[in-house]
Amino acid sequence: MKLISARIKNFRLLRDLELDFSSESEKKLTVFRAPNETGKTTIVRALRWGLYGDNALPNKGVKWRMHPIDWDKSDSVNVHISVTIEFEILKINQIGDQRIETHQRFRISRSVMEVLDADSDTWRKTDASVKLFEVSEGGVTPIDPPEAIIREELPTELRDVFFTDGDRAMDFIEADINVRSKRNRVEKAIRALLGIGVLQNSIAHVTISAKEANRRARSVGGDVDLTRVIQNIENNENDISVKEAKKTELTEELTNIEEMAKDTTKQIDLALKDGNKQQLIDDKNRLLNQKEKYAKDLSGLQKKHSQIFEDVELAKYLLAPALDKSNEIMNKLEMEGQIPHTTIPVLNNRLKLGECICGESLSPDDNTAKDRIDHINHLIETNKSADDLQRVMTALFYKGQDLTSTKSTWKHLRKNTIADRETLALKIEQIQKDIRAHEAKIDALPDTDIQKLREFERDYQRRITGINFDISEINSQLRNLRIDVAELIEKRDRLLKNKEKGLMIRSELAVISDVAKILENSYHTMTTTELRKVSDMMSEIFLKMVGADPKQKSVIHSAMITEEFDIIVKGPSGRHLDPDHDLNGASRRALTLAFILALTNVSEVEAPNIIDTPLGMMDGFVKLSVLKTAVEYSQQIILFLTHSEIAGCEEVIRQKSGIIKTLTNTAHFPTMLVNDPGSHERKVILCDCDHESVCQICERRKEQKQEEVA
Amino acid sequence: MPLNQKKILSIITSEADAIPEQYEGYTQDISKVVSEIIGLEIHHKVSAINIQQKINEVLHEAAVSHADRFEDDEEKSN
Repeated sequence: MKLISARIKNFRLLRDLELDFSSESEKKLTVFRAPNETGKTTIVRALRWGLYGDNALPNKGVKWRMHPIDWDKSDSVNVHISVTIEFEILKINQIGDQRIETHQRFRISRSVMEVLDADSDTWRKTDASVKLFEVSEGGVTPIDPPEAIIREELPTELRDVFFTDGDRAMDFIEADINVRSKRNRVEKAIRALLGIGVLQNSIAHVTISAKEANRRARSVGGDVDLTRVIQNIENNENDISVKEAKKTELTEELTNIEEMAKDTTKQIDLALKDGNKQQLIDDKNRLLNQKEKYAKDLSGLQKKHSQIFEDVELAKYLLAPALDKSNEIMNKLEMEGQIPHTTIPVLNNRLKLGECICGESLSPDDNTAKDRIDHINHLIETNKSADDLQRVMTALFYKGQDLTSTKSTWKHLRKNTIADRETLALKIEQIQKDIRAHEAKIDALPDTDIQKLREFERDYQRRITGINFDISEINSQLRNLRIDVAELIEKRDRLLKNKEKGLMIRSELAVISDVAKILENSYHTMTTTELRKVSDMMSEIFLKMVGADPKQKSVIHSAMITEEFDIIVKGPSGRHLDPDHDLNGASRRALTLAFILALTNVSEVEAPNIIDTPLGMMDGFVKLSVLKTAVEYSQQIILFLTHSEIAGCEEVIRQKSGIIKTLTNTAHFPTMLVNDPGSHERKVILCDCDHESVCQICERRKEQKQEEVA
Repeated sequence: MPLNQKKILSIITSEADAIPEQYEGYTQDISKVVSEIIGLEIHHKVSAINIQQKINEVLHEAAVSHADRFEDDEEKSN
């Protein structure tokens, strides 16, 4: 399909707009220069609505206003909205081995009326209709009903392939869309454009025809052998159907489990990214144990602290001045022989020895010693009266010497104890802080049970292995069954050959068998060779667009479509790059465009690419390269570009465009437009200015233009 | 007309070429039958037709032609 022209009436700010599109193969680019708020997205929406109806509108058109917001109700409360699109379709007719290609032109006209409430902002839709006409040299012929042709020529699966806007461009690869939806979109687009679904349906119907023909073959003969062979063929084919169904079921289950496994891994990664909750809880418990130990130590230190006040060292410390003084006195007394108290033991000892210190005899047997002995005994008695006082003094002398012989360590002890207590208190404070930090992290984390998720992950892996084993078992059984069927068919045909009425049924079976073979081989080619071609071409276009050269040091090495219809990008050493995290916005957009262009190219479907702001988020080399490559690989390309997107691409646009027009919003006067467009209504108008010229209508204020380009 | 009719037809033609020629022009005939079936399938997507019956009819017609040609060839060879 190629778009030829469109006329849009009263579709939001598009009051009456006529657009022509270039359909020449040499000049396949159409450019609409349109600053922001000039109806680019609205035009794309209007075209989508014109071709696909309400389903193509936001919220499927429910409560979605179509009429201009500044519609003057005093003129009329009935607003007729319409979009008329002329398009051309390549028709192929196979006559014998001749293939004749012709172009057929159609005009689709979709309209609706919105009836506005005179007293409020509400409205209702009415009189929706769609008409289709064939446009030929002979005139315009209505096609009634139009739906069949529309659905045939404009399959909804291809809406996102034909129409791409800045945001929707990511639908095939964006992260916030789940894997299944992305795969479905990619798969649907591929199946629709390559015709895989059509081939599958054909195979299913021809298989039924084959079964019916086989059954008919039974009636030909009354031959026991033939009947048995045919019965066996039927049985084996039934087995094949059952096993095929089981295989499909298992494959679907496998896809679901693989997706669940991936989601689980993602959940684990996500949970671990901010911290492993269980790990944090364990760490917190360790900290609590440590804190408890510290608290015990602190309590021990407190005890020690109180004990040092009972220690002798405290006495030494506190009594030091008094002891010094008493020591002085004691020493003097010692010098004087007053202490220690030694007189009585010495005298007793002398009496015991029987000899005085002076050498005189103190023997009781010596009569001359009696007086001396009496004197010494008298001295002993006399000294005894002063003994108590002397004993105390002596004790004091010696004890005092103990206290003063070494310096008191109490001060040092106390200092150390206090320092230890302070250190421990700081440690407890720090650990408390750590505990609070852990608690905050734990509270902030979702209740993800990593352990449980890991168990799920392991379980999924076990199931994946199991299903893969079952599938390979079924595949081998299918192979054997098919070999058996082929042998039985040969036998059946041999037996039929001998039958009188066998020729017709043999022909029927032979034709069906060959038709089935061609369909199955075509299906195989489409799903392998052709899909690979799409994948390879997507990679080629993508690398070209982003200027990546795998031979150089580029991060992006290739892109591919997997058998599961995932679009993936590979980096150095075949490493997977996540399009959401490892590619920038421009590359992601380029990847989607590359997929769309590769698909239309390989399928050889004549399709337009209508793209709203494709070069946003791009500049320099990539911008120019994306534009050049998109033009090179498309059959018809219609771009809505802002001034900033055009900047730097002027030459390519000049060379490749068949039509270049400029769109202007009248509401931009006087703030952005230089001249008054002379309209009291807010609407988009078209002028013939190309991407480099200006006129009375589209001339913009200098600063505004610079801002747009910047 | 299928969107990718051109592509499908070219693949069908090349796959048909690999089918053994049972009589002169057989591969062309069989290729045409497959194209017709594809056409019916596409038509069936957008309009209610008894697709199985239509396909059976196309196959039967091809079988009749096959039987005629085959009979002729067998007679000739006999």
